[in-house]
Amino acid sequence: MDARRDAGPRQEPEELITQARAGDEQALEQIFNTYRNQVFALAYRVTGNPSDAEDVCQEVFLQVMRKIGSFEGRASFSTWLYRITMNRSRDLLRRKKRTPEMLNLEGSPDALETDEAGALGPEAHAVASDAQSLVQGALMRLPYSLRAPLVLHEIEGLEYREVARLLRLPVGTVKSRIFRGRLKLAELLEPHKEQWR
Amino acid sequence: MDCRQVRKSLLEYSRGDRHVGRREEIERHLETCDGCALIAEKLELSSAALSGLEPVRMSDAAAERVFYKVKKRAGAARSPGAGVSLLRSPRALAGAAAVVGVMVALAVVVGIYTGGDTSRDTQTRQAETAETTADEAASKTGTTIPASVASGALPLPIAAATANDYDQESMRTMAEKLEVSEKFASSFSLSDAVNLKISFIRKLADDFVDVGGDGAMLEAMMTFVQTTEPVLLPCYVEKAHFTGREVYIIAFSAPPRSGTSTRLTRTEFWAFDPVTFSQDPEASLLWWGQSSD
Repeated sequence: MDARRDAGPRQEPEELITQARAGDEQALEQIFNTYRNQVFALAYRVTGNPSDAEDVCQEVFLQVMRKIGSFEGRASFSTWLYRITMNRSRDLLRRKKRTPEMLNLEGSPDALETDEAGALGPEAHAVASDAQSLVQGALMRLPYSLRAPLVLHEIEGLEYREVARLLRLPVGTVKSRIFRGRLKLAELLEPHKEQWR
Repeated sequence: MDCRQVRKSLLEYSRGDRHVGRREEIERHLETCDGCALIAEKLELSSAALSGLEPVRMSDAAAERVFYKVKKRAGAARSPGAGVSLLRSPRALAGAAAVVGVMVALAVVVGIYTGGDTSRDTQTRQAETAETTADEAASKTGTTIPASVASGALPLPIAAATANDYDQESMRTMAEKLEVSEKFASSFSLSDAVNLKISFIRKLADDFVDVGGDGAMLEAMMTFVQTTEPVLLPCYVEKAHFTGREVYIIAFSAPPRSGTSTRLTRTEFWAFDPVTFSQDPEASLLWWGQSSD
């Protein structure tokens, strides 16, 4: 089996999932290749670190392999993956007994930019341009309670009600946190706003 | 439109999702209201910044690494000689749970006859538990605790102060052996967590004062945790030490992270430093763990 292949879905996800539930290892590999970027991107946006995102991916797909037999399809497979990814990302941040925002709060956005670009390294495919680093750095300075709904809605494109279901929050709370998160993000980016003019 | 109405629409407005009828009204308001104009400007800046983010992809090399590790760990779990990893299969877990259940029952019986403490390290001083009776709980919290709980038919959360000085290992051991979390798992579901959490938080805060803890601080900690995890039901708190520093350990019963079960079969443990909590809650979290998932 070759995990390098990543040409998107080769079969309908439902079919793949059915095969995977029946214990088909090739179907599991295809699921990995189909969804790995979705999981990695979300984990990266939440943890702020490609190495942590890789660890989260490992935990997520391990759980998928172990529990796909019990996946009943009430939620979409993507939603299930999002939920596992958010939970594992949060667990990782807690296990490290510090959150990136705590570290970042001590530094300036400029320092973040340097750290971010350095941390990405040649293997991460995130584009470490100034603007990219600044936004990711600012995201990491938001508390998790604002960052999580913001990332899910604004970057991953989930509807309010999907975010609410994933985070087990009322829709009104999700909207309010996204609003506050957006304002806070703008305040953090204010010194560099010329980047987006 | 007044400021409140305008601000409710600004998020969509800043994304360009401009309903023609409202857009003109919003723009008229923004021309005359500096406060709303400033908010609109901030939202537009964050919109531009977020929309400029490029997709993040996992490199092939990283994918190779991750997939190899996942396969290895999943394979280890299936291997007949995999030891502890066997416990990761649901069937093995069920079997292990049955064995543990029998062992716990035996331990409880032995504990009753010997007067020993079956749930704690025997080297540490016996916990000064403050498990109140159902009547006491009901009188303390008024009518907030339902009759089914207050009557003693269902378990109540426990507050304790101990001389335990945990390290990573003993903290994990305590987390694994906590009996009240098992009682909560078999008694409560997600809807109970929603309905009971406030009354349980208040009861624990009251009981915590009785054992010499800072009830207000404990309540603030539990509220802080609930900000990001609204469906946790506190089942146990302990005033103790962790590697020499005083901590308030809070155990929350929670639904599993996957599957469709709504039983509170997972337990999260949060150990906060009460000295630094008020300055920086996130930094005051000294240990976090969960019993199962």
